[in-house]
Amino acid sequence: MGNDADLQLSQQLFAAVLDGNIDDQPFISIVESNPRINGKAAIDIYRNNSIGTRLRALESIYPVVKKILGEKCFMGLAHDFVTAYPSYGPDLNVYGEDFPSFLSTIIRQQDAFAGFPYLPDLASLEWFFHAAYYATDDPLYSVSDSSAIDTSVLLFQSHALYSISTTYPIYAIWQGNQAEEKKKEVSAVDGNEYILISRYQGHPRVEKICSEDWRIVQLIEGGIGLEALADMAVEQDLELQTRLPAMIEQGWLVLYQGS
Amino acid sequence: MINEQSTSMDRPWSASLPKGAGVGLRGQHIPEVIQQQPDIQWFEILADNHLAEGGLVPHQLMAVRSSYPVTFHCVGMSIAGVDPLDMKYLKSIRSLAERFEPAWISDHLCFTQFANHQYHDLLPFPYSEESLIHVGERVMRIQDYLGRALVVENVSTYLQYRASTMTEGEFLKALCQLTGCEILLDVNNAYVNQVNHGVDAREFIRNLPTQYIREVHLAGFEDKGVYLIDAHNSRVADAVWELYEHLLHTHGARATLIEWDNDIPSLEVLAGEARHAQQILDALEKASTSTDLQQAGVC
Repeated sequence: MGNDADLQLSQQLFAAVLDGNIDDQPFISIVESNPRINGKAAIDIYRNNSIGTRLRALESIYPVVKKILGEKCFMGLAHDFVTAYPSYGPDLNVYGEDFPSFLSTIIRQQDAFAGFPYLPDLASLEWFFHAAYYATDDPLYSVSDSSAIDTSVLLFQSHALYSISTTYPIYAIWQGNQAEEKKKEVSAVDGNEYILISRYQGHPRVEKICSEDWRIVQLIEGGIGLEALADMAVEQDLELQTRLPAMIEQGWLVLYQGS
Repeated sequence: MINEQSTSMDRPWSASLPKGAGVGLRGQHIPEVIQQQPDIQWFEILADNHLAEGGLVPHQLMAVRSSYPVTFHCVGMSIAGVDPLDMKYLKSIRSLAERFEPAWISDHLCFTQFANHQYHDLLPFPYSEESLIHVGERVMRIQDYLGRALVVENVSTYLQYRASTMTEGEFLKALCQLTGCEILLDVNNAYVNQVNHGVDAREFIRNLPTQYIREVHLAGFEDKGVYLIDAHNSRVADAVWELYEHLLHTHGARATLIEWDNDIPSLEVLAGEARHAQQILDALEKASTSTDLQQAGVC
């Protein structure tokens, strides 16, 4: 070693052993021998640190999934996830988004998880709860001045609004596993359950909503003009008069002045 | 090629430099800090935990900033990495700095990323002339982009490279001389390296250039029997306090920070550790004032 290429090689080997892609020996051969910490032990320390940081991030984001699976099972799955899904940036708050789809694959593949078909949707709820907390603020637009709301005004979903449609009673499961909640019996869902995760006064909020509200929110995905929305609401027999102001007040929807 | 800089970069923000002993701000303590305004001299913000542009986090940080001097501590610059600099990350840090005006910004002498994979750990590299040029160029680019001197921290390590031709201390000193960056001297890391590799921590501290030492970190380690882990999960050890006193007597008083990242205790425990550091700083100041007066023939 002794040039830039060697700096590259040392980092390449270090990264490869941390990822578990190669045998440790090529990397161990470029480090000093140390009677206190041999090369294998040193690699294990760094590997544990790297994996441990991401495991703690997942534990923090998915507390209800962890509670349901139990510590040992959750940590085993989380470890598998961390080794399969690298982190691509310094911000740990954006790591772990793929955990629900990872769970979905595991549940399809492994009979041991046959009793937990709702876990991916529950995990999605927890990810959205986390994402809503950190989501970008919406621009402010005063709705109190009705004269300012003209045809150029567009309605959008809030940056902090996330929605789930599920056939599992995940709202009750999630709520029943909050620290302050008493256990309630969870009933099966008749048809679909619609859940919105939003941010109100800085704090994420989870709500079960009716199918009519769900349809209104879906119409607004991607943004829509007030007139167009009114036309579609008539076509689909949706009541906007009272629901729209309430949705704006709750922070689900945001008004933008069109250009 | 890097041109040697004889002095540190200008520091227009120096009017708000933290002094004395501060505490690393952790999420669970933020409401208490905002509501009760504890008697803590300054806070270090883990900038990587505050990259979100929306929600409560920036508002909370602004509330803290309005009452206390702050510094930024980063873990994502990958100063020694061979991947291109993460300009998106640096842009976020610069944007945060413009908003919250930290007295200085620090990161670690290590790499954290390779082939776009982020390892979230402080990974060592060989200390060689070639590495020095590589790291020096990156530090210069970071400083140019941030518009200020970077403060670079020595790290705890669990391995050393055969290819190293200089010590970490020699590397840091040369890096400061090349780039005008400054040093965040982590005393716990120096002690961990002494136990793990037999590096004399007192000599390491003594040989660092006084004029470049901007800040000191104190933290707790985890004793694994034959080696130590830089776990930041306990009180500062007696041996580290002794090294801290050695540092202050060698280089003089420096802004000092209590770092605690795992198994985080109450804010009062952290404040207690900061008070201990402040007592040592005060004793040093008293002793130096007394010596000055004696030399001036006042007493």
